[in-house]
Amino acid sequence: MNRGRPAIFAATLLAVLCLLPGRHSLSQSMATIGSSRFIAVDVMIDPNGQPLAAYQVQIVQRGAEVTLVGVEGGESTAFAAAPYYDKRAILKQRIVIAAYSTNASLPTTKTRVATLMLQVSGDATPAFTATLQAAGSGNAQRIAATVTTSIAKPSEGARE
Amino acid sequence: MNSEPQIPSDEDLQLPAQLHSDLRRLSEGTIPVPSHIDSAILGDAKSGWLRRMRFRPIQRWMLVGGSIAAALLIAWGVTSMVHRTPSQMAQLGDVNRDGRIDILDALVVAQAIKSGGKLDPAWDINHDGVVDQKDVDWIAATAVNVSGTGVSQ
Repeated sequence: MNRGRPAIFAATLLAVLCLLPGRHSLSQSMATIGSSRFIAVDVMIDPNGQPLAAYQVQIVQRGAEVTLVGVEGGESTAFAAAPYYDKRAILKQRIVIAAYSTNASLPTTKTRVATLMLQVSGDATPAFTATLQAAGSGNAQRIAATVTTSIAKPSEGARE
Repeated sequence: MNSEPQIPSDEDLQLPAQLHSDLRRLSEGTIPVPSHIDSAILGDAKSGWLRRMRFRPIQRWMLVGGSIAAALLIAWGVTSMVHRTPSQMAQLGDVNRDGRIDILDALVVAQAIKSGGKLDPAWDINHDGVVDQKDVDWIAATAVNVSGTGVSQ
């Protein structure tokens, strides 16, 4: 009888843990290591109908301790490759990403141009401010565009 | 008859008595120099020495100044090769001359390279003698540089 108590206790504990109301999904749990978690931040640019051949965006983060893990390219073939960024600034609160394309086919509507893979330490929620520093059309002329960011689920294939 | 020439020995050499006495007198005594010749020689030597002493400080300062100028020139040359000031970097990468380096400068060079058009030699940012993708990467890396420690590519 006494020898069976630990086994019963472990089984009960496991059952209770499995039955806990799942605020955290399995994927979210996998993306959490210790007190840190990984998030992906999509960077979107809307060139307002003009072909987008180049962009340069500054992203500032406040509110949490964040480490840049990697940067991946966007959804358009013109910006599929990872953008330029300062690899020595991975521990800073500010990052500038930029990319250009000489493709003939350029996006003219809102498109995801990059995704930042970040590791967030602690429970604080990071806040991001994106500023468009430059956007250019196919003839390398400056164009007006808008930039937005949104926190997305972690995706596969992030490149450091 | 074959006769060899006779070489006199030292003992056989005999100077004339007058010559012998004159030579002995010269070696024993001092040659008197007239005072006006003596003073003329000393005067020339003194004036030459004064002339050299007069220009010696000038030569010394010229040497010091030249050394300092050479050191500054070498330091400037090494510094300009190793480290470029932000203003120089701006001039280097500001292809479209809008006063800043950004991705549009890289786009201009990249499009020119791809189209095979005329390439401005001033776009040879890394001074390797050719305008190519490395220059585009340098401009883009400068545009996104936030660490302030130079360009990393």
